[in-house]
Amino acid sequence: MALLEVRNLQTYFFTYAGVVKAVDGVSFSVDRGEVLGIVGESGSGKSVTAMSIMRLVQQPGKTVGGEIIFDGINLLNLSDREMNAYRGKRIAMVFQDPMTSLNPTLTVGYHMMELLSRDPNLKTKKDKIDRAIELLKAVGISEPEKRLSQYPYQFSGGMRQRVMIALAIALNPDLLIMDEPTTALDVTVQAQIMELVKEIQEKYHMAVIFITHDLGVIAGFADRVMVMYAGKKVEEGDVYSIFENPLHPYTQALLSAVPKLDMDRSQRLYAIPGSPPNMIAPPPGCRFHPRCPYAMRICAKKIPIAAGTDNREVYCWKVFKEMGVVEGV
Amino acid sequence: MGRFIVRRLALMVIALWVVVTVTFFLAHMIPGGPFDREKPVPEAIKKNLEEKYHLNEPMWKQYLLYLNDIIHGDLGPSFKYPDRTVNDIIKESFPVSAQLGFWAVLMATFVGISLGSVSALHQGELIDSFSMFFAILFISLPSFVIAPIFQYIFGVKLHWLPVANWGSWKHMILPALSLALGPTAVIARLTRASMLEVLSNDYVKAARARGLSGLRVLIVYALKNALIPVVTYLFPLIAAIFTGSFVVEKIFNIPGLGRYYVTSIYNRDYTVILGVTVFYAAFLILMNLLADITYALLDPRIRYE
Amino acid sequence: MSMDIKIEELKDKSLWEPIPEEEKMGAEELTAPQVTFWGDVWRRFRKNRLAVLGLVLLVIILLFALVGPLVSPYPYDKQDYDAILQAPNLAHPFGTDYVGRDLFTRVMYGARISLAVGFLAAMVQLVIGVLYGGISGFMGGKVDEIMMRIVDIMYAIPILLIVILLMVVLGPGLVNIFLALGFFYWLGMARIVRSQILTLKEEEFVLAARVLGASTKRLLLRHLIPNAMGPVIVTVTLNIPNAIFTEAFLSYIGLGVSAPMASLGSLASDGVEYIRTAPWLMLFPALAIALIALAFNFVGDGLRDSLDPRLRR
Repeated sequence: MALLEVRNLQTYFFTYAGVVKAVDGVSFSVDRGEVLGIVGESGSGKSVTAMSIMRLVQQPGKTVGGEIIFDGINLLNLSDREMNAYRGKRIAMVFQDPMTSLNPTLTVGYHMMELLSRDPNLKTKKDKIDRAIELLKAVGISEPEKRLSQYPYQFSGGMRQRVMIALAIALNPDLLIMDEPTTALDVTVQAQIMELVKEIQEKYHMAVIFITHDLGVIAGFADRVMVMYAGKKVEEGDVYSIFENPLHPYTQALLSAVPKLDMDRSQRLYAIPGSPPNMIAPPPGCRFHPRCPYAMRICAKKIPIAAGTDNREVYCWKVFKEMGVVEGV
Repeated sequence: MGRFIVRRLALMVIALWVVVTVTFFLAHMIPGGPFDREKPVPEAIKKNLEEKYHLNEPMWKQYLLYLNDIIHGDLGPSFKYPDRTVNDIIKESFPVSAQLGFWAVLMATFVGISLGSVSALHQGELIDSFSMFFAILFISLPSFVIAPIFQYIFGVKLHWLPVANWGSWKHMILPALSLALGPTAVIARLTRASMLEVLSNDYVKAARARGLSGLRVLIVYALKNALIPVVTYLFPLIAAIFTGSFVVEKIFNIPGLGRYYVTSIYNRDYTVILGVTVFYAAFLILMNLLADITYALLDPRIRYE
Repeated sequence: MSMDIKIEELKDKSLWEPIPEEEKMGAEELTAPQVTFWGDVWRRFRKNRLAVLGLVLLVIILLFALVGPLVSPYPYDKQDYDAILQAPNLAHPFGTDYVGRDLFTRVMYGARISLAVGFLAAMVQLVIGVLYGGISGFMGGKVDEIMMRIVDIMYAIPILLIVILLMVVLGPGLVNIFLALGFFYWLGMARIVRSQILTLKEEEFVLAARVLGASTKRLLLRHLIPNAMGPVIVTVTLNIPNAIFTEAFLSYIGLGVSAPMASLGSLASDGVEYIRTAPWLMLFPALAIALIALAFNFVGDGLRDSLDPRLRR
């Protein structure tokens, strides 16, 4: 049984301009020790999916349908108190902007000790301090003893993200959700943090959901990739087949938007035409069809149904047609 | 931190000097001089005054001598009550104002912060709309309007509390309430806005994602940070309450410094007006300085500047 | 979802033809209807019931203050010893005072003065405050440093006390109140405008305009000032009640307009003495002050909420 199984998740935002279906019927699963990458443009619903799993969607948003089965239990049925016991301990999360994710008026040590006091194995204060130091070392922070008494603003962005990761793994969670953890960082720091994340994942063998808008970032890290567009899943598969043979026109477009080293200089980088859809009144049928070079009449009329083989799922009428399921067309 | 306080201290000294200087020159601008009034002043007093203000000396010398007196805390004699100095008046009446002000500040802080936090946590709900409506109502009612209304309702009509005068704790309720309601409303609104801002911060979200208890997130992450701007407002608030006391003390006939101040304005008792102005100015500037220091103590980013 | 699609439906060949480019639901149609910034602000303002109430109140108060005294049968200073201390009645809706003057007319006059003070405070902020802050923020460097030190020092001075002192020296009177308030009412605004300009200077669209060679004047008029408008308008509106309070306060302690002229503050102050026998003398002017302040606060709050882009959903 998968560690996490999300079924037909629906999280809507009830704004006064209308209902935004930020996540509209998305299903996926993550096994123990597996790394799932969720890729999409901003507004595709990938962060809202993460917040829905944590049950931290804020007003005016609300998860209105679906199931989130974690280790056999539907998180959506838990009381607030029961859910709180899962957060940090069994499911942890790292956010996008390390500059604002730590309380500016508390020391880094305070953040850590506060969390470690929930670990029943750490009885004395010294146990906790030792563990905090061990964690900071594990995420590559030098002079951890000194760093504990410092305030967040005395840390650089990359260092803060390391602290956030240390906090996330402090209670040995089964699942770690990372929401664009490198986006706000410098390119060189990005690479270091990715190295660290890989190292930690291998060492502790955690399941990871890694959210990004940049397919390139997770190429060497994820086991499987799920691509989202406008609140819906458009394609899912193992990382090799997605990169080798992207089927959905949107995935193809995303991949050709990633610059490659072997690219001819005269070649122009591909940009997806058009802009992301208005989420209050999304396009009918396939939400990508206004920007799709292969759009057919059916694409504007009907929501695509799943096509593909085992371990591969694509929601695209073009792929569906090429599979030859419907005779004569 | 050290540099920060030194800079603020310098600013405070300059501000104080400006006030004293402005006071001095304004006093000399009063048509016909401060002591030539309709009725002749007794010779002894006039001599005393001239000595005090060195009126026969050249202006610059008078100014320096005046500065010297102020530095030594000597605010001069009263013109209307020759047997008393401004220092005497302050010593006698300021404790009364301070007592009244203390209770008003305490009430405003406690009720304001509670109402503001509750409103922020229930944003958009009935209790929020309700308290914010009353907040805006009380912001629109200056203390000199609230005071006589309370006096009329609770004193004259209902006989629940004494109409005026000073003595028991019962005498304190109405004036303290009149002084506190406006600042309570300001604090409630400030707390609410600050709290909403903090609650939308990533670190609150991150703290919840770490599974910290709701109460802990509320107190250690939200309230603690939200109160920084509120605490710094506390000192300007004290200033506002003290200027409000000018009129409230007059209305309730409370023998505080505020009433003396207003009476001396009615009587054009210039030396008292000038002396008390300098005293109040020093007090309020000191409050400002305390606000800055508190801010630095609460926010580590400034502390280690 | 996939359940409600039948294979039969998909057999229609026309469904599988490419859509011509022009028939696609273009991105233009799909984005939200375009609204201008101020149109959006107005739309949100209109939805705020208290803000609209405040605006209506303001218009009514303005009408009473400007037109009321002209059509009132009683001049504000006409004494009538046959009608002393009358309780509110049909002839005198707010009653009469201790020399038989019609309180309704006097309150309308007082409201005039309050509104004039409010208008003056707004002007001082808009002219001196915006100019001072704008120049300081725009020039930067040494000029900015010196200009802001001056503001810092003036800020540390308890304004009300100096205003009281000024009034003692200058003597009571409306013009002197204007002078005394004018000295100080621009300080907060200068700071706000400066910080707005500093933030905006760093914004990309201003940099872009710079790069494109926009002149300084154009940059100020076209880019910086319109964008700093929001906070300026809100500050002005919310500061007006303070100025009105200050005038009322000064009049209350006998430093404001002198008899037989009436300000709401001096009316309320006079009324306090009659609180046992003729409470309306205090009550109506007090309510008038509160109503004016309330109207401005409602409007100011509404403006702030509808101008704050963070509240836009």
